[in-house]
Amino acid sequence: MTRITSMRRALLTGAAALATIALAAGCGDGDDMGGMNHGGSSQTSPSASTAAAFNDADVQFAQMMIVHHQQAVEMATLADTRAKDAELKQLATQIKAAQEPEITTMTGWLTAWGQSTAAPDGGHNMPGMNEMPGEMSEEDMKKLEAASGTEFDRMFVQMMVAHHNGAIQMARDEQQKGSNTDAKALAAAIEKTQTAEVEKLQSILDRL
Amino acid sequence: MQTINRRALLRAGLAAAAAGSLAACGSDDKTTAAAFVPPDGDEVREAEARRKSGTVREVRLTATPGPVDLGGLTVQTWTYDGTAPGREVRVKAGEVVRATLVNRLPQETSVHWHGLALRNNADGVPGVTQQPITAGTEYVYEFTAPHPGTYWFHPHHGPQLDRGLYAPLVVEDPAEPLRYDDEWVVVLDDWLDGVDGRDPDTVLAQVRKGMNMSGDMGGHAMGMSSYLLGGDAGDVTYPHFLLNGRLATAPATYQGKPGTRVRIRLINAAGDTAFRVALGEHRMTVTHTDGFPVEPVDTDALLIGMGERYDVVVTLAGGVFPLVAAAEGKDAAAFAVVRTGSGATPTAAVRPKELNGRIVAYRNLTPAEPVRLSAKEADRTIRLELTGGMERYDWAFNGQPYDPKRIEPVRTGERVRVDYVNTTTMWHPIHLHGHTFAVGKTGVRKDTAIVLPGQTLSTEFDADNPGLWMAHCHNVYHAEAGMMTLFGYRR
Repeated sequence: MTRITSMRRALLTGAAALATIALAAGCGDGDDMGGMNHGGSSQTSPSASTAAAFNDADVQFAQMMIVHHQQAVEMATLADTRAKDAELKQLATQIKAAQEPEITTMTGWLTAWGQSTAAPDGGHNMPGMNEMPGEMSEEDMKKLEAASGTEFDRMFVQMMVAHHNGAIQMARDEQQKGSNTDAKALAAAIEKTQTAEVEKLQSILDRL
Repeated sequence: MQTINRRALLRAGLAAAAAGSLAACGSDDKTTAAAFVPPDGDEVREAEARRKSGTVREVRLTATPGPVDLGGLTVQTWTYDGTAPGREVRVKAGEVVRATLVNRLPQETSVHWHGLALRNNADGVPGVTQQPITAGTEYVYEFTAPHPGTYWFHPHHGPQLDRGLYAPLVVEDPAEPLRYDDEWVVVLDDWLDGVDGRDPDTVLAQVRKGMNMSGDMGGHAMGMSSYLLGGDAGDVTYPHFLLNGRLATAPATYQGKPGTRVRIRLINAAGDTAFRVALGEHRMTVTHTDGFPVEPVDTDALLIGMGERYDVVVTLAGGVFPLVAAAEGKDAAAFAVVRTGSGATPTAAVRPKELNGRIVAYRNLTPAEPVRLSAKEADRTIRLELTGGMERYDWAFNGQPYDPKRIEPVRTGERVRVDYVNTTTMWHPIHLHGHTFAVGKTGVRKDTAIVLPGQTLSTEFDADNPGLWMAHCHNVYHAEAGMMTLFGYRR
């Protein structure tokens, strides 16, 4: 996906040119080109001077991913005592071991950048305005907590797949919009690790 | 979001370049249309002539306003001939359906025969394959039903399908290979029409305003979330969920005998609701999805998006069992009772444990050998990004709301790969008209498939049914907001 992302970025350079051509040709009556008005204007350009720099996307990524990771750790902790399947239990331990240090890392960045470590709105989704894809509702977390045996295992896998997929979305976003090298590298690592974990989770689900 | 918008521009630019001046401006739709096989063109006629057409079956449907009893609650709604669901249409593969639609509605309408690879000018898309059927007039659809399976029909006009305008269409196989003793058609729906002064047109107007930050949800639903659907479960709150037109408090009953093998044909006719379906104390053997056979596989439950169908075979135990269709992420359910012996009738609150059991996924479904697409490299790859969100209610493909002048070209004989790339934070059941595509690595055949947020659904189809065909989200409110597009066969 990194390759696709960079390819997409290269393509984007051409997009503006084509858009100009399209406009010059007198096409698109405004309605058609609805995307255009929002196209260039809202771009956050990273400040020019910046090697150790960060932009809004980096800050948001770190703030949100901390909350997102915290929930994954919470779920994995439930698996410690509830999971029935040995492989699943082991994978949950692995997820926790991977994400806890990342929380520390991201918290460190935010402190160094002089930014709040708290996510906007506490990072919690307002339903219908899903800023944090894949975050489980409180209700679903309660259901998971109440489950046991194979029912727990299935629910855990289904939830963790959705949770990981959300993290992957956020990580892809950061790789496109972020500017901080470390943050983008972590995003790439998260995408890679969690994509592999999703496959493993699904193979576990298929035999449960 | 600007990435997506720019990408959309890029695509528009490329399309314009590819089509030369033809499609670029779209101001001259005759010119644009001239590039594609028209819905009543010779190629469409020839394709229909190649279908083995048999006996003509006459069907008469009257779309009409009127009262419907949902089981102790009578609502004013629009139906086909006074019932919701409408009367089942049942034909044999190869037979010709000649259906007359009488429009007694106060609006224009049309009928789409969901899932059938039929002749293009019977597909029922107003402004594309036909003129809308104006109020007080009639229209005749005539088409061969080529493939056996479980289908359904509904209007393709505004959010009309979220009223009572829907019915099953079963195409029987004259050489049915599946063995079963009985059949039960189960149609699921979410219902708001005529309750508390709501109707789908006003709901659509409300949701289209988008959601502002002051907490005015404009009729949007709050707190509907599903981990199976990867986040938001739906946009609209419904007071009722129906199984075969019945409230959960007045359920339909299937009366059978222990040991009976029943083929249950499940159809999700809802506007904005996925259902998680299970039969208490039974496993179900999935035999078909979207009309096409799969290698039989057992499951405890199914997740069915809007427009999807599953056929399952169940060998009934003795007793009384609930068939529950839980509205996914919406904390309510439709249900029916299966009775093969004595016992107390379960209540509407019953939630069999099978709902949290194994749920078969697309990757667990393999097409039956006769319907597997041949191994072939794609001749063409089309990438459609699913875009938009609740805030502005700007659901679309590639950031561009539906425009009938924007047509993705394909050519007869091609293997066409379409990647549906969901960039939104919500799930979308994507439906392609006139073709049953193959999904993912297994190649299971579907005409409607769920694309989860952030995920890509890779599909392939053989371009063997010329005409202009729509692809769209089967959330009727998303479709109406603009998440629809067209494929066209080049002349």
